[in-house]
Amino acid sequence: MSTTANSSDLLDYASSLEWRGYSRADGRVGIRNHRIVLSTVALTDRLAASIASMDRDSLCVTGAFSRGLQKTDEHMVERFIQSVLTHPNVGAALVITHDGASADHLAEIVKATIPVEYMAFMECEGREKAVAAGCEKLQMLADRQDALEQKRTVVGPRAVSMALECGGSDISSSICSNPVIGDIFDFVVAAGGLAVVSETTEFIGAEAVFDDRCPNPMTRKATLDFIGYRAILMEQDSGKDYRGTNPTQENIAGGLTTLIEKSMGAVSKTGTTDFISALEFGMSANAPGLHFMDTPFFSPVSLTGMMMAGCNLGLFAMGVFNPSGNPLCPIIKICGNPQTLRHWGDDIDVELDGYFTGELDRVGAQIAVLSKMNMVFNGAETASEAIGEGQFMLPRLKDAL
Amino acid sequence: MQLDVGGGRRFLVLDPSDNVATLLDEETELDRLSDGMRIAEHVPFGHKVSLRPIASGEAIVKYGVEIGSATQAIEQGEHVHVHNCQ
Repeated sequence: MSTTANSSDLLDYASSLEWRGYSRADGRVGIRNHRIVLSTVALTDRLAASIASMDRDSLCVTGAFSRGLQKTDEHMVERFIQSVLTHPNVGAALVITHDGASADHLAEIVKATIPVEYMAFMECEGREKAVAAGCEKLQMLADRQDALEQKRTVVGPRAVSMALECGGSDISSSICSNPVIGDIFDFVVAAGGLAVVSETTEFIGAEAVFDDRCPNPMTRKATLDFIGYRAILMEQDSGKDYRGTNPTQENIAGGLTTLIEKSMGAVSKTGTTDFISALEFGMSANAPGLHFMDTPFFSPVSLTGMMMAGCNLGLFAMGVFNPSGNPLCPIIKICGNPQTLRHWGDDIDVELDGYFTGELDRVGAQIAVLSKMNMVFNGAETASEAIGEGQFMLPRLKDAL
Repeated sequence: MQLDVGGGRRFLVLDPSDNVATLLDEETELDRLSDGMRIAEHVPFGHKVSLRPIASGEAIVKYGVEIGSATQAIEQGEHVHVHNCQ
């Protein structure tokens, strides 16, 4: 299958770009160097926010995590904590736990290579002293970061590790933003980078893609099992067969003829490269190439999963407005819908409406996206980062005890 | 691949192997694409037209992927949708 991705115009432009990131001890590369305050349970969320607000260089990470979870959910929270503390965009971390035993447990299981400090809420002596103690620890972390001289160096486009996402999807995403994201990923994978794509239900109807683009039979089977399982969940919940009721009458009126055509609108953001792995939610992605991750379709959850995989940035195709984001993994919002751009332009990073007015061709759109991605990689804030938009959210697995 | 030489409808071919184009404008009274190829009138925005004659049973290709097959012979420039593709 060929594409316009490797047009010489795009490659000429790409070769002129410099990519500078933070090389971590585990070999991964960050595009941010956040000093985070991580709250490990909802009870410490407010304290974490108070401490983080005293240090303008810090980022608060909270997820309203529960106690009394069954093991699968408890392990999911631990996996979240572990992946945040080893995330390449994190340069140092203050971890706030409920009690001393939890702090000891985390210190034992987490294998972070960055400076980490722990603080147990139950060992604090009042709000004021707790905030002061947290600030002291943040200062210690900042000093340790200075001593380590965490600095950007030239790393090349192979250090791009992308989350591929779409939300509020419409025709502009299916024929414009998503295919252009696919072109950019084809470039990234050719350079030795990686991407993760998720939202399993989007692939219902596009199973044939895996026959063509998934050479490893184990990976193909695992992916198709993930898709089949979510299709059954949807059918059990709605009483309707998704495949039998899609495309909907509304989709057909909009020009979509078949289910695979509808699904390809989303799948086209994966470009033309092979799928090399099928990951459970939040597992890390390390090998160069394209990874599939099984996640629910709600964007804040799927983005959290791809952040946990280690993605250092995300490309998000937006049709109608969708405020999903991830504070640790900068998400670049790309939109071709003129009305969305009129109303929500402040939240959007790349405007592709010229595609529909005839002012922008595919190579022009590719260059617009690649140029923004390069700037964000090298440190420019995304719209979501400037606003402070974004969520951390885990999937729901079992009832809490 | 996207052309806009004026006088015809703006369109998009997503992959070089596609045999359909997607229309990008609402100029439904026009009967040609911006590259001059004759097409049916009244094809709505976002819908597809065939780029060449397609035999009954032949694959309809968009995104470089078979999205369906022709249920009857389709002429070049004809509207491709649920009436002739499934």
